[in-house]
Amino acid sequence: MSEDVYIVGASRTVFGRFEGEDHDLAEEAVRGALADAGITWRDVDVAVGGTNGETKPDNLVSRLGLTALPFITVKNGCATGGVALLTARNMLMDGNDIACVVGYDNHSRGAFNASPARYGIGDWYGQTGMMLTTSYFGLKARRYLHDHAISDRTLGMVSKKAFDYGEAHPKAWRRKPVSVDEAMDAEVINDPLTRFMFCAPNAGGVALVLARGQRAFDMCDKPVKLAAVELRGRRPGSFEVFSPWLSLGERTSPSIDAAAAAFAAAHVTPADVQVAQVQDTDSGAEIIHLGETGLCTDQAAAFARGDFDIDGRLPINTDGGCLANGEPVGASGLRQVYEVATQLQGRAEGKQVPGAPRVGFTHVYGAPGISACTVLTTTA
Amino acid sequence: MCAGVDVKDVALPTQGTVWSWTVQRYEPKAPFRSDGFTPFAIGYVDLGPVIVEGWLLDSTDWSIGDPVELALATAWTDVDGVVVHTYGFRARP
Repeated sequence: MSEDVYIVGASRTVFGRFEGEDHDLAEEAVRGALADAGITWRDVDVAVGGTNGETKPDNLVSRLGLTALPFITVKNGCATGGVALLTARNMLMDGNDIACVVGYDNHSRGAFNASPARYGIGDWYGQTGMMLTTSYFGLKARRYLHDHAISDRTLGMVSKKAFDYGEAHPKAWRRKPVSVDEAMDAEVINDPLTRFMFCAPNAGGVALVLARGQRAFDMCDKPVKLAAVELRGRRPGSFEVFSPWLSLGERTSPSIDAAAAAFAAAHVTPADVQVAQVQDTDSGAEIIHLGETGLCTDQAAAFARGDFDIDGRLPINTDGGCLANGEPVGASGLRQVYEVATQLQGRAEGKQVPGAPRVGFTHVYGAPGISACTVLTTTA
Repeated sequence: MCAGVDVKDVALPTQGTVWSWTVQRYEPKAPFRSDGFTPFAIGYVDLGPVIVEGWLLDSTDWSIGDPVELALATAWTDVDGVVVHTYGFRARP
């Protein structure tokens, strides 16, 4: 027990459009997590902050207190939250007792507008209109559905589920239910995906307090064990965003590798998981990631049965996921962990998974082909 | 597989089949350039040795497996009147 790492405090802001400063979101989340853990900033030994924006997370000390603590900044795209958590976990295993992890972002409206040069690609790729995350999602979904004989209608079922969960969650962004037909019949953005099948960049902040060993049980009645957190990059054969070409042969994925590593490290199997989050930047991504993580082998049948609803076999993205929360990139991965941790503690803010779930899982995935997965377990 | 530095140009086949496709329904932000946006299809084309991404020309209705061939396409016209071209793939009979 002494070397295990636990979540002992957690807080998130409402996600949505935000007029203030990025650091307002981060500060609100950190102060909330500290209060949840019953400690002050002075008690924190190490901190990790993640954002995909231009602000400096480590300068949050000017708001929180100049305690001389080491404060690491991470910037790993959509996987930022997972990498921040991994970094904090490692700093605790290195001998520190208490860590604070914060992720936040405040994006402007519209799809991300990536610069070809930042990805080492020629200007022509952006000039000809191919450097877009949304077209990548459409292309990847189309091929996956084809390879796995899944009908487009399953995409609509993903959206319906997300907005049903979002409606019930007081801190989600999009809280209006959408029927499968509405999702299918909406304006097409990038075929086969309609506007109800994409998440949008927005604003939000999430913070967690982690503690190591017995200290966690002194601080918290129901600490949630961080049984595993694993990060993996891509191998040949993966299908990543902003790829002017793809290699043939076996399709690999960093999500497959990260999930397998996390399950192995935690000594559990996908079948043990009772509540989970998978990256749903679009409805196709959720279907793909359910398969790649090993959580589901027949997604079409599972959606048709309602397996992923709150009373189903494996409730997925119970706060509405990225589809209903939007994606403040730095915060998004920690939102997943926040939601699963509060589910395991029986204090979910939206729909609560019945039956006291004991094993949870989270998955983030992003450019340029990285994935971070966690396994979370109860300690009662 | 490793990324080497000892590389050489290899001519790819000019014919292949559609591996996946979508339609860009909204006008991309800069650096996208055009002489007037209309929705256009993008696909990955399986050329045999490699899968290449490019425009799918003359149609916005495709199916996986459709046979295509390399073709030149007009991308935009520069301020000095020079027409800039790019590559794409069109249906082959």
